[in-house]
Amino acid sequence: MSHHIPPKYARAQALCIFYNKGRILVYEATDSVKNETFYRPLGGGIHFQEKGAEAAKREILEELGEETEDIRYLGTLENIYMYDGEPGHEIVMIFDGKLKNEVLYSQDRIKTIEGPKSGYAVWKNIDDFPENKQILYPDGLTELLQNHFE
Amino acid sequence: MSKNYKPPQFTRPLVICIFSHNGNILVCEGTDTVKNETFYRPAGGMIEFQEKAEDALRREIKEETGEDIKNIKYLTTIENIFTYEGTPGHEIILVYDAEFEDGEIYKKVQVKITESNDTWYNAYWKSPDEFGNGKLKLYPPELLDLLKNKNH
Repeated sequence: MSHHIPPKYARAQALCIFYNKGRILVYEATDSVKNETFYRPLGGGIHFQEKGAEAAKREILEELGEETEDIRYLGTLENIYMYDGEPGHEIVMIFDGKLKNEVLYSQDRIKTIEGPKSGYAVWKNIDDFPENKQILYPDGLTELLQNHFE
Repeated sequence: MSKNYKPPQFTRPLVICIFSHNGNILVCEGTDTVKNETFYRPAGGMIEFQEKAEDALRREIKEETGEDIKNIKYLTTIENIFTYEGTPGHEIILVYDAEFEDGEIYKKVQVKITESNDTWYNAYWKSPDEFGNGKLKLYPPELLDLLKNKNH
């Protein structure tokens, strides 16, 4: 029976977009095999029996120590990828939300408690991403943002 | 769904397909002996590691019915947090609409669905009107609203 958890499977993720004045909150990371810098919104795995919207709220609290509100579902993306030479696969529920602490929208960077190695989340203009001028993951997110915010 | 099926204990991405014909949809019949209920759900199955959801749908329908499908359209995503046979489960379900290549299956009253472990169960063409409060059970429950909106 399929009672056990397979070692590699498509993981359910919830990411949260904070959109403000043409910018979104992302963290910067590097793929050392592809030798590329990329950006990705905050968020993480949907726990067993947890709703996607709750997972998004919990992850932001864990990563930034900040509360969110007005969480709204935007869409689902399939992300089949290689990262640092390892294959990965995610089914990603994309939400948007608001940070309760409005001061964060005027900060250049926000310190993270856990998550990105850089230790910071930054505001990036969504016009930086079309045609892969700068790389935004997961795949398909640039188009989703264009449909919702432009 | 066979009686010895136990939901795995992680958030499992799934694909299902709503095949419709003359206002009816194809649903598989299952039983939960703990809840003592018969329920219906569309055919489909798990997305394998590094497999595109559309490919997973084609593969699952082929395995379950022996049929090829065409005109696949993504409809929506449903979060399904449930218990089956007393065991908790959790699925992120990508819901699709598609058509069978071979029209013969639309004429069958009963469609045999085969699972990988050599068990099988029956699927039927049923009207969405047969489901709802005090009527037959359709899982995941959110499908009912989706079907209502689809017909308008």
